[in-house]
Amino acid sequence: MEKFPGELCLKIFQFLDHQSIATAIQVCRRWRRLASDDELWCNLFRERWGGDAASFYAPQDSKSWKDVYVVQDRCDRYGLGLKIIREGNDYYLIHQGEIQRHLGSGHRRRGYNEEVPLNDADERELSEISNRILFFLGDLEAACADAKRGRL
Amino acid sequence: MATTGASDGASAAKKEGLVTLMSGDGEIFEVEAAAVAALSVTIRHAIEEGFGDRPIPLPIVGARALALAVEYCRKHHSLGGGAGEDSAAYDDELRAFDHNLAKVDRDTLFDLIEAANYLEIEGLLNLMCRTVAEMMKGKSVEELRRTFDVSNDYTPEEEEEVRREVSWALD
Repeated sequence: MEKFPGELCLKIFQFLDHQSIATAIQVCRRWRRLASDDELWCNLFRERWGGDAASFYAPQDSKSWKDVYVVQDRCDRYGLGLKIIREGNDYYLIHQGEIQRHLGSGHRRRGYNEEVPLNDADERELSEISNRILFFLGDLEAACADAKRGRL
Repeated sequence: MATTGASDGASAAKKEGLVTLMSGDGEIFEVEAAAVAALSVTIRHAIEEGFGDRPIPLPIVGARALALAVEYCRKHHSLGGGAGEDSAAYDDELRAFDHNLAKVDRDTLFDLIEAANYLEIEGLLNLMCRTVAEMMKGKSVEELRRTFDVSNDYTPEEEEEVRREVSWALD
């Protein structure tokens, strides 16, 4: 596939689902560029959510179809509300599928049995994440309480 | 299979309804013009441009890929009337034929994709591209690199960045 022109690689990629394309993006720089193709992701979006949704959510400004697809995928999985989610090793605060804030990185096992020892910096980072989550939950509680008071 | 090794292909008196193709490695194929012209846009144009009397040179298509492509054209012309994959005439026999044709090794598969692309045989191109896509499904990044002989040109930092970029899709 190295010698194939980009259009041929794309012809192959168009038969893949979003997970296989996400894996292909990790293979090398060229595949990343090709598999991030706007038309490719636009078609994936259409297939999954239909033409009407595609026209409605069509990317604006500097956004790509891939960006729009990711947001819509999160909405499907997590709903529109404010949520804390983990993607890979990273924790995010999301709202309507869009990342509002990167909360930090967790540390999971890398490799098979290899436990990565936490150094001081990691420890600090971890406690920072839990702090931020606590702050967030605190804010949420306060906002709920305010809302309830408003209703009474 | 195509008529091969016909050294008289170029010079012999033109047989009715046949067209002569020459692969990149110089092999001559005499095939029914109607069958290949119905499936291959490139050959159709060549015939329209008056190549019918001379061998049509296909510089980037190897003999093996050309033989398979011609076989595809013949089969699809006789059974499917050259119609596309969506046609109702696409019967079990054609499906079985395609299935068998797709069972070639990886390099032949790639040669066939290039040949189908050059000859503009849409059905064959789609069939082979879908076959490669099927080979990719379910493979890890490392397995993809091995299967397709692609080397990893990411720096460790980029690799981490890309992993983060796609992690939404992979959990």
